[in-house]
Amino acid sequence: MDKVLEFQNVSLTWPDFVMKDITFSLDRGYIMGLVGYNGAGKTTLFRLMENQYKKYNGTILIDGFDCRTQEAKVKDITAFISDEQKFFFEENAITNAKLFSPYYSTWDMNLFQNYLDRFEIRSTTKIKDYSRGTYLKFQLAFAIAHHPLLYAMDEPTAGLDPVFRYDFLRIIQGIIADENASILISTHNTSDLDKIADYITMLENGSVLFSKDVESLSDEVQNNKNERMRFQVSSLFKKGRWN
Amino acid sequence: MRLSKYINLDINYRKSLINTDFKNLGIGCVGMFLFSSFLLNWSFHSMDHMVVFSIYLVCFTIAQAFYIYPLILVYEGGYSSVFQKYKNVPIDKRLFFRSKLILLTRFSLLFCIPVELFHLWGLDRTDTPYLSIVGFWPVITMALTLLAQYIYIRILARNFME
Repeated sequence: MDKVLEFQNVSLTWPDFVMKDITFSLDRGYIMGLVGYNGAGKTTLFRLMENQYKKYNGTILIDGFDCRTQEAKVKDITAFISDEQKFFFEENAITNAKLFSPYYSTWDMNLFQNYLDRFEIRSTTKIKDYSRGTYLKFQLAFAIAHHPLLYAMDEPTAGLDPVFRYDFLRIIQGIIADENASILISTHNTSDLDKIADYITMLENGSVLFSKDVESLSDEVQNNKNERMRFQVSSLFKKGRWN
Repeated sequence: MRLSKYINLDINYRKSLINTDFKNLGIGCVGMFLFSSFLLNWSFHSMDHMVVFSIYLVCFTIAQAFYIYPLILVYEGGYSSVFQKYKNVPIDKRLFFRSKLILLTRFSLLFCIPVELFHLWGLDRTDTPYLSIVGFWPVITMALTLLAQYIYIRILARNFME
């Protein structure tokens, strides 16, 4: 199958944190949930994809492009969605789009405007006046407008109410259907993943505990083949098919 | 994307800022101050060399800062580096950085040329030879302030350029 994201033996050593031999991949058109306790290395994984940390071993490929050596190409085909203030907060949505869009190879301003309307985001409001949920929707509209192959979302639904989370999940399922893109999403709200994820990758102390499709993971847990995995999965997924 | 495109995008970005008029006014004020200094120099026929040099140094630093800061700093409650805003954007980081330096250098040269001409005219009225260090003070000051600004921009972009 066509792999959009590949982590190949990625290792990273810091004085207080070690990431060991991270290997997993994500196929085109699928959603992968990234789970793990605080400090497991989820955000570090996203930072590695963003090329914020360069001193690591192994290779990270996005659609075959190396995150370390082909950074511009990788960022052209990837949408990073997080809480970070990476837009001009004193400007409105349209100004932000005008400032950033010339750098993208496949930017579609009409599509951006359509999604702003669809998400009911006022394009004249400054970004700093958006609520948390609106900022997330704005980021999604911005991301969709440049047709990325991969959406990398670092805890996008943290601190959002259940109704908004439901809406958000519906939107990203729509993205998969319309755009044939892939999504890597980290979250602590694992009940969300229960609804949308095709694959689950679990990190524990800087290494991959497992990376499996949900059906086989569900079977393994139900059949009690792996006690440690069952304990970890059960403790993370309080409700859902794994209990 | 070519360097010229990056330069044009930077110029458009600067124009899109609401407070550009204030920055231009600042540059104008510095220019007027310098011109007044020349008039004073002309009226009294002499001015202490170190005073002139210090005036150049201060004026060049302020004028360059008025020009370049909108391109490298963004105000969001406090000032932060504009480079951080572009870390997830598909840009050639070296060209992006270079375009800002080129714009700064271009502005400094445009600012320096009239100052140098006035300076040489002023030298004519004191008995200082043209071909001396004093004769090239505006150019020397421009080079020094450019270096200082370059170091500052480099520090601002250190995480971005790594």
